[in-house]
Amino acid sequence: MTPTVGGPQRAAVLVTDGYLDLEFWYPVLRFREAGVDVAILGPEADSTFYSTLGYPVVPDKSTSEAAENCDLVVIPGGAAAERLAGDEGALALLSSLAGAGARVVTIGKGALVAAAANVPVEAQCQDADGLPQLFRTLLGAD
Amino acid sequence: MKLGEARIAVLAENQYQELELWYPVLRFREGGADVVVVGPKTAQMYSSKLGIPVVSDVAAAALAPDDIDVLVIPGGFAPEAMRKSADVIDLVRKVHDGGGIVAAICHAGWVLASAGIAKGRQLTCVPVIRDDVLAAGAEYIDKPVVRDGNLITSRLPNDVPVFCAEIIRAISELDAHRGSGATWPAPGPRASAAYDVPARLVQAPAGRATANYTTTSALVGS
Repeated sequence: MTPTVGGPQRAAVLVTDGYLDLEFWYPVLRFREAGVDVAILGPEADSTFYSTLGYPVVPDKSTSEAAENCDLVVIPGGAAAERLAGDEGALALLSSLAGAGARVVTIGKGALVAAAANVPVEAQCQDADGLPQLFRTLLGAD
Repeated sequence: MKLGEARIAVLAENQYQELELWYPVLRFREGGADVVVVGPKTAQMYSSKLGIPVVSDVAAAALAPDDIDVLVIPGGFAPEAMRKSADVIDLVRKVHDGGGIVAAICHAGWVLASAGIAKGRQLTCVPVIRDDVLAAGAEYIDKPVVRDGNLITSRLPNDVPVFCAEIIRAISELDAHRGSGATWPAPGPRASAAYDVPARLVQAPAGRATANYTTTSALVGS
């Protein structure tokens, strides 16, 4: 599928231990459905990170090696957001991407990370129930 | 029919696979559809394999099959519990036989087999139950999504994007609702994807002095 005209072409979703399953996976899979090139970025590329309930994921790249730009960054919530808010590598990456023009979107406690990096938030929702409206905004109708 | 006009029912039971239930629910809500979660009972909590709770909006027996445009059957191990419910199996069969769209992913092939709607059909499923769908008379195809008329099937959680895209294409081919919607739940709050306390699976004895047990769910700490 071709990405929506005017919508994101390349997105990044941040992850670390303690992420909330739906706040992380819905964006990743929804971007794939929409044809958006989506990368999962974590503290280490070759490590497995687990959700609060134990759902595993291995990132595509580490936050320290993810140099190429993207036009949208999604920060899911959960305890993971509290960890990322204290992760200098993740904050530096977020600051760099936002400085290069990437829009930042947060879900739940993901707002803590944006605040810690001092980057503006373009759109946000409070929890998983807000994901449909958030992605209607990001990707357009249907 | 536009996605935003569709009435979509998603089945739930204990040990459902998290993304195979919630991605369709959230995805179709994003498109404006009215999505309800259906279980053997109304207002019953079911736990995912890992502990995400979902509370059913309505019981399978309370819905007229013609009031459902699309019936989604998630996988995980929930299909083992679903096939124990005559109401659930009856609903699946009648939605299918009445021309509604039935969409099944992963282990949900078991439900198709129990409903007797797999015979002679092209479908896919999680590879581990390939032999079961073959025994039910289906033609197994190893592809991310397979559509055979009003039957849409996928394999695993990674397939939910193409699974839902195919369902949306099928909805676009529907002319109108088949039923009046008289049994469809009135507008109001629907099953929530947000939770404060996870659920846990609980084994309940099947009777006095028996080694058999059944699986239920409860909130952690309760």
